[in-house]
Amino acid sequence: MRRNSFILTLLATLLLLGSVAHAQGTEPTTVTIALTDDPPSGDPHKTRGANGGHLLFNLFDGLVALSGDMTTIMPALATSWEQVDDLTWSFTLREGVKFHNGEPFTAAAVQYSITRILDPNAVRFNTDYKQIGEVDVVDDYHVIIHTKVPDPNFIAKMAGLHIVPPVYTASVSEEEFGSHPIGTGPYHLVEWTLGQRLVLEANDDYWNGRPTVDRLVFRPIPEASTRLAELQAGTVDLIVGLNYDAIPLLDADPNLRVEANTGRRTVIMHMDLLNGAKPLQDVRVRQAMSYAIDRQLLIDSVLNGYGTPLATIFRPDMAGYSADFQPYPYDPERARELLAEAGYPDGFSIRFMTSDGIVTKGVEVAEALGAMLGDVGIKVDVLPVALQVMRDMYIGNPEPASGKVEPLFMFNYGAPTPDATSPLKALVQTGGIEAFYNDPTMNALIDEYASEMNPTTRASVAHDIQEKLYNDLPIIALYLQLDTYGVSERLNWTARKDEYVLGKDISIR
Amino acid sequence: MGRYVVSRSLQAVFVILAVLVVTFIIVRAVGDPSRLLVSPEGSRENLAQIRHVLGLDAPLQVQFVRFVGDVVRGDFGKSFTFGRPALQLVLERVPATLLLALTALALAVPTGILLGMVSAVKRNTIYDNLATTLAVLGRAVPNFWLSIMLIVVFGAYLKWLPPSGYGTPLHIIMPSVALSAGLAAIVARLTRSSLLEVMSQDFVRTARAKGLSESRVLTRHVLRNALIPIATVVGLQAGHLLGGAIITETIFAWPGVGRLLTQSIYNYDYPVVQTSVFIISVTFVFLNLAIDLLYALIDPRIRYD
Repeated sequence: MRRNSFILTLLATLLLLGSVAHAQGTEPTTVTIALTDDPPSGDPHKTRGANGGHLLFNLFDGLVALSGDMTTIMPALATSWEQVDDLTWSFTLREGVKFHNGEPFTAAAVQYSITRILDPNAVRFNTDYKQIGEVDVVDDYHVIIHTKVPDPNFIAKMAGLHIVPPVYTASVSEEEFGSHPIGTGPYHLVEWTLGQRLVLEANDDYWNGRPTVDRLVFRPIPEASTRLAELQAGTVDLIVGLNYDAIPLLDADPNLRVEANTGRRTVIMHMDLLNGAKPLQDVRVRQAMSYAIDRQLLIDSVLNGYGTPLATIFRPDMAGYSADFQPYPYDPERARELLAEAGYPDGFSIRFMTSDGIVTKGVEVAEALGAMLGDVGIKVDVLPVALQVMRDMYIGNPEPASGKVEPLFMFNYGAPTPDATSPLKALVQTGGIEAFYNDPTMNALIDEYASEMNPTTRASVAHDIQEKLYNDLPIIALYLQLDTYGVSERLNWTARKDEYVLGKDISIR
Repeated sequence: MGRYVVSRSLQAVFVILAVLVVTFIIVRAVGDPSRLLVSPEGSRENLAQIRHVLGLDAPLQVQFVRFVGDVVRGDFGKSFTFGRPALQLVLERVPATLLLALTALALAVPTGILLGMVSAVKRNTIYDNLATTLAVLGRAVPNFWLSIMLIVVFGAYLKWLPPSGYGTPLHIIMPSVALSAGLAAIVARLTRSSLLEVMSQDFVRTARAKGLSESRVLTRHVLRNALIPIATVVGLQAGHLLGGAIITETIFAWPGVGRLLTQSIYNYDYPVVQTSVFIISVTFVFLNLAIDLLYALIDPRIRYD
């Protein structure tokens, strides 16, 4: 009896496998992409994460879109927009757009989507869009959005606010919508088996023209070396999260190439200046540390050259970025002088927490930094831990001044828009969820930057902020991390800055 | 027999309850999912709100009572990551894990017994040495390393087999070989020693004296008696196959329970971690119970009265 059920189970699973294999139909132009994990959900208002974006930005549109280098805001579901006053934005919507299920796109969909995202249970996004107030539908193709506070970054943020079809979304459960999402995007969902594959097909009626690749297949493959093997075997055309160590292998293979883009992630040495180690409280020590670091050497030796040195947490694409501030030059002599001035002629010892999960090669980078700081007398004890430990210690620590955090730690920040408000509020402003610094002038400047609608005034505020960041060093900025991808030579594709792999960017050679 | 089954089943239930408690505590010690979900621009109040939405703001004992109450009603909660019922997510993955574990078992046991027999029968010859070397290697080589080597050699360079994934019979070859290596090695070593021990016993000499052919002596008399310790170990190791499957599944992107479990641990997806561990431990415990009962079939001397 037991043996029978055992055999039955085996047969049943084999049959199941057979039917799955059989279900793969004819194949038009297909591009297979290996991701690190499953996108969590197809619901753009509830979850995102790095893997979610690959799905959502193929399926959905926002009112506007960001160019691949994140510098230009382009029309999408809105053909034009206008700032009526500091708190009011008027959008003219694209006519004749239909959702994948045929539902027409109108102003009602915009209103519905915004109301939905502000639902208190949409835990993440109601915070990102909390400045949005009322949405007025003027007519089918005109909508007015009011913000509660002036928000100079409002339009760029709308690129991430995806529009869902109101009739369909309201008629199905949240769970159902998450697994059978419907948008207006260049691709629509055909098949999704968690842990196995996600199949998208080109939207024939896409408003911006049908994409040339008929089918996108996303496969979640957590192990980096397995993704690489898939690419080498030719069973996958594009892999994300290519290990830097694998770059020479791809360079040597005529069928494959490496694509890289300075991603959106800034890598920093973050510090607890509220209650951290005493030496760090002295600005001269922080400056000494910044002088002691040879950023270019770090990038060349540990990161295979894939990185761009940074002066502050302002990325060059961010509103108000000023090239007046260049990364601290490597000057160990100056570093030693500053340390001596601060009363540490023989240096001091400090613990430095890091994780391979927090930045690419996080442990090796920290060890290299430790050696550089060691050269000027700062004895660094590198503390490699699991990413989880760092998250629990540093994100939203209920008592940032409790001294329960390691005083010096690796961190990264990937702002989603070309604007510094998000990293400034999170990392620098007192009370920020990852901030360990208290400077009333800086806090006021950040508030001003976040709400100043005049670009010229804003740029001058940004300049002041960068000057303070540069001189007072609440954070030691290191470099912009490059995202690396392995790509088959049969594809035309370049990496976007926002980390997403979009079918509309791909064509077959 | 009946009483034995009842008492062992009760023990099993107790073990599973203990596993539930331990998982419940450990998963909460690992990390807090609200920190993954909070917006970088959020405040500490937002964090508190997320904890409330997820039900993590209640005291641990209250959360536990709620959890046990829900489990008793068959409700394992919804995945924090996928927003779908955790039990459904896990059960969807069970066939893939079963297929992999059973294939590995079906590969490991005959291979191990065969190697062990060769070793024992051709004792102290080159064949014995070869088989022993293979067995030691199979045991010593870490599962993940073997998996990656298989992928690199047969997937990336020779291109004979798909490097990873699920769907065709070809896909199962590498993961099941990788998973079975350790078990096959144990079975081989055990078969060898067990056979040698039985072969030196009087009844074997008697069987030979009766004029039975050597192969008949081996299969009818020696092997049958040598099987008891092998069955025990295979039973225990079958549970470990499920554990090994966690690594193998992750490396081969095999959509089983183990892969879901690692993924959920990284995402601090408490409901899915709890449910996966629950399902794995139920399988493990009842597998062992089944093996214990199987002894009675193999060895008439064992009776549970």
